[in-house]
Amino acid sequence: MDKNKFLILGIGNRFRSDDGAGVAVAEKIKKFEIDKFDVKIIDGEGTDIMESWKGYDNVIIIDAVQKNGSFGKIYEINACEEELQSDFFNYSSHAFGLAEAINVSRVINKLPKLLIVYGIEGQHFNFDTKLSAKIEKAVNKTAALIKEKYGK
Amino acid sequence: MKNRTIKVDYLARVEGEGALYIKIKNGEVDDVKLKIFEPPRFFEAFLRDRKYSEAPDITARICGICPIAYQMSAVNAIENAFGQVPGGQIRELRRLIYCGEWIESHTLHLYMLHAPDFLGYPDVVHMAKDFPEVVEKALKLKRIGNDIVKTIGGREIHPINVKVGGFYKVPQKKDLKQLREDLLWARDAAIDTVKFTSTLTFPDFEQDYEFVSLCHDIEYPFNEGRIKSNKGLDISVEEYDFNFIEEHVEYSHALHSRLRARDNYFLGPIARYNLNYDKLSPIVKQVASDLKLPREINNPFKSIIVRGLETLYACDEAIRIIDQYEKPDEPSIQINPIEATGNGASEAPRGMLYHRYRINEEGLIMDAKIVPPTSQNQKTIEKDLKHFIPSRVNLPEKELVLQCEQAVRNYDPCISCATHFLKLHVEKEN
Repeated sequence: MDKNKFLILGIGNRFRSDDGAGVAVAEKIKKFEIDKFDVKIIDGEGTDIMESWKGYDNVIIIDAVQKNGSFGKIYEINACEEELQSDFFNYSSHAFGLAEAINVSRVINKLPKLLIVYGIEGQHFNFDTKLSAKIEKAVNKTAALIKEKYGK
Repeated sequence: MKNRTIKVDYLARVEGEGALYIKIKNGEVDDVKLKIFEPPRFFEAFLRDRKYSEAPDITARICGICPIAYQMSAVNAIENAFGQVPGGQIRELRRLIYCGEWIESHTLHLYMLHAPDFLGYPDVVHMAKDFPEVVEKALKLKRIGNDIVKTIGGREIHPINVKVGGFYKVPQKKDLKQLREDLLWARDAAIDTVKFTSTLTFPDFEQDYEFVSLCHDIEYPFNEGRIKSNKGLDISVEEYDFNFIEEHVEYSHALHSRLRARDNYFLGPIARYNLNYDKLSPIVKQVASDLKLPREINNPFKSIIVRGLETLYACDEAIRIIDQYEKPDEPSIQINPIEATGNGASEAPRGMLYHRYRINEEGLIMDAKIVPPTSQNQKTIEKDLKHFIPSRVNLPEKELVLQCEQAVRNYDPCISCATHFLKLHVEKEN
């Protein structure tokens, strides 16, 4: 694997409204057609996440989060340096999800060298294929941010 | 403290969202409610007026952990309606993809969700610090289950290659070669898994259960068989509705099932093992015998051992199927829809999953009924807690909550399926 390659991993369920924020960011980044970016979309089951980043030194994950009500707020976490709180991603139906995958990988020394997690605070997680307006804006902003920071 | 209420607002390490409410009055368990508060998902309504051919893909979306079970029960029911059932290698590939789902689902639950309970860790992250090799092996084993589903189903989550009548595309024999290599490793890892689980310490808790499972004449059940129990039930899948009833309870968004003739019943690995021990492959029986495991298990906490045995069976069965595989001439049989009602059941990792479809002359679904295993086990989970708590009622609240959650996890509840996460509430009243 080329050491300059980045895995862009969009996590979520596009049928659960803002839960699809991570997926939407990954789809936008894919359209940028940046050679060093490999884009994957998965639903967020922990072992799939761990399998997805195998072979990559640089990984960017985008997922929706549920927090205090600042809908559309973008969180940036350097997962190599700080532990993820599983309740940060507590909307997930997966008992072994993103936070568990990252925290287990840290314990067994299987984390990528660079692992940045972007969390977009969602507003609605009900059945819908549309993102909320604030989350749509945050999706565009996050995609542009990742392109700017890592796409050159 | 004779009276108290225990509330678990979000039960950890289960798939989906639910809560547990326990009320203790004068030292006795007054009330236990497994509250499934995830909103109803209306899949049965989504299916109305859709083509019969869409049912496997729509119902696969009910669960990311056990989509194969939904696809299989759907195709079984619709093929039952039309009186057209594929055999030969298509039938074998359906067993193979189911092996993949059992391996991934059982391994996930056994190591990541349930084992920490027995070893005294709050979660698998803490367990991994002391057992890094065990966790790594578990991840690899689960991966091999996923690989089977991906190879046969087109992708790991919500596979897209299953159709009424067979598959859209079937693999070449050479496509299965790497899987076979991996499965040889997985079979050994599954033996180690059973040995690992057999060393755990189990609470002394046995109950007189009615175990229910599909039972096939010559095979350990996946897709076919009569519905049997250890208390005399012996019916065809078509007779399901005459023998089982779903009831609404005001505190849960999942319907409670019971036997019309009796009451609650127990589905899942222990039920299958107790009712189908003879159909397990020789290697599984040998491992069970070497570890002196009884042929009938009545302690739900020992479900973790049986999940290990079923993982071993699934690896062994997958190797058998691959060894005998020859690519069929056609990936599916021709389906000719008729106006009819069909019933289908299959053995999801958590237990029997029943589907029924009424289809009109245009092949449109007029009416659908889906009864997931977690919905059927709810009453038994609640009854277990009623009997489990009294001898532990004086435990500190934190410890009591942990033990109650462990008892719920015996059933590997998939609350997402049943209608998501468990919240525990214990109330003691003076």
